[in-house]
Amino acid sequence: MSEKPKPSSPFLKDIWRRNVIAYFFMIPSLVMLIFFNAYPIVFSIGIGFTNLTLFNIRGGYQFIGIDNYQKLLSVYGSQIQYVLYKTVLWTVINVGLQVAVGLAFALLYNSKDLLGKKVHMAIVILPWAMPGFTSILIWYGMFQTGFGSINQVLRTFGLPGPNWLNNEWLAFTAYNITNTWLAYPFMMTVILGALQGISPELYEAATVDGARSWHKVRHITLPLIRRPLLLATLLTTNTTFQQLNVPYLLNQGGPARLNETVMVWGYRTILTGRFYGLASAFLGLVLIMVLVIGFFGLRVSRIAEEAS
Amino acid sequence: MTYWTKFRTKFRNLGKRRLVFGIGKNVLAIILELAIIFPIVWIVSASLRSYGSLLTTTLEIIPPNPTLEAYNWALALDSPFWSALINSLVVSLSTTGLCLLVASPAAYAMSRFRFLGKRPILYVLIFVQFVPGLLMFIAFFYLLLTLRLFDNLFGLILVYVSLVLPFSIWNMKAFFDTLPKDIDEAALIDGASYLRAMYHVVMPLAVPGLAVTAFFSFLSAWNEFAIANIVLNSESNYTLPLRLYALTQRDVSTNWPHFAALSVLSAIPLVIVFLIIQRYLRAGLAIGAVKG
Repeated sequence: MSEKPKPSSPFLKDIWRRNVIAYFFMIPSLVMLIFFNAYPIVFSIGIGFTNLTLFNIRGGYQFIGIDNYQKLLSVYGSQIQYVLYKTVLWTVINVGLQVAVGLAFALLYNSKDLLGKKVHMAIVILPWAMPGFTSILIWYGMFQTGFGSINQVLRTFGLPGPNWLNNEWLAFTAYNITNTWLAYPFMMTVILGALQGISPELYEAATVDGARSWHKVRHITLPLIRRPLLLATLLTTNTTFQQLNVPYLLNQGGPARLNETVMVWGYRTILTGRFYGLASAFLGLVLIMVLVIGFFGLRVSRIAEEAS
Repeated sequence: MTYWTKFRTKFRNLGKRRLVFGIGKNVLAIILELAIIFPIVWIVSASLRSYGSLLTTTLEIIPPNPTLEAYNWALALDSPFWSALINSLVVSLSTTGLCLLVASPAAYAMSRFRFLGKRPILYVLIFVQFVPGLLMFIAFFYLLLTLRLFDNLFGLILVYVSLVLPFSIWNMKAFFDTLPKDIDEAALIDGASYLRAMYHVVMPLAVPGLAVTAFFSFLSAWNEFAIANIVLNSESNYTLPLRLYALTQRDVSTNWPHFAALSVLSAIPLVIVFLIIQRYLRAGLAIGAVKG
């Protein structure tokens, strides 16, 4: 984007040629993007204004204006409100956990005192290497009441083993444990990458000045990793907000739909309700929310950058 | 050098406070790692049990009478594992191959040329990554029905490619950006075509970026559950996630050792690839390149 024009560069020969060649390289991607991204998005948003269901998909569905949106606000209003509340709670708590755990691990594993670092790194990053769906189902097994290993551990310490997936807040806790386990390696890798870019001389200078380790973290480390940290937080906020597999595979957003997030609600409307028009309208609203969050997130991270 | 001698040389010249701190950090790391790998240890242990012996109420990490029963079941010729494995491999490899093939020239053009509409395209690529996959899926569902690609692996591949394409283009562009332009300029001035410069000069240098991009597209296809669950109806088309999910949803009783053996088998290839590719991760992940 910010190429300095060097007159001799073959990439800058003349405007016409340059554009033709660039677009020649882009054609396959553009075709795919238009047919399989742009078109489906526009089409799905359009379906949000029809009464399409599984039963009239081969013809007979009609344009019904903003009926779906009205329904979402009236008939389904209280459901949507509840689902939104749960989603926001889930996103805030879980992103917080991911950042805290990722940061703590990155600081610990960046330490020079750690012996056999390669082995340590390979182990601590293992949750990322495991296929996500397998991991979630493994956690599903671990949270089982009788033979689940979590309860086995609790019993070893003489504690009662609760029925994790059958209680609203215990299930919510289970989601958080599972997703933090799945997602912290990404955060940790990003932060470690940033940490390794910090010159050790800064710390040495601070040590000479008599700074304590917490002060070093507070005044050297955090400001210098702020940018990648904010960017990674923004990305992970989006994926956490849109997380479907964890709540769905653990107990379908249960018990009794008490832990449904927006994605579980949308998925249920498609899979069991088969109200495609309604689901499209709902997911359209979700898209708007995601974009608003993304926009403000970018603004906030930019402001934070300017402040630093 | 043994762990102990390494330890001694490392800490010989340090003050007492540093020494205590250093030991503390190592101990802490080991405890944390034990907690982290607990689920993995548990599933391996569960896969070595017989159906009856899993259902104990106390924790036994080492199975009392280890057996390969579950693996015998999973690896038998008529087991559902093989068809699911083949389906998953076909879907994931095709997704990765197709995605790299399509994305790499686009990423190269984005990185090297200034052209009309480049900025809008870049913004659209970010925007698309924020769109919920489920939203697009309703259109895919309709399209696949009308194209008669429903319950068909090829249809699923098309959906997956389109879902990983934007990230792949971005990630590869960011990686190409880190390679100095001079290298391909030199080749171009020597008379190479643009395609040649890209495939023979730049691509070999971009292996870390390509590897990471390939790994992530493979991973997302290998892991995808929600869309496959709607698109694929017949059991012969099931991918590994669907097969595993079906195993856990038996109403009467889930055969956990069978599930565990399948989990271990489906995770092993990925874990190995991941550990090999790990050293590229920090170099190849786009977010590192977006330092500005």
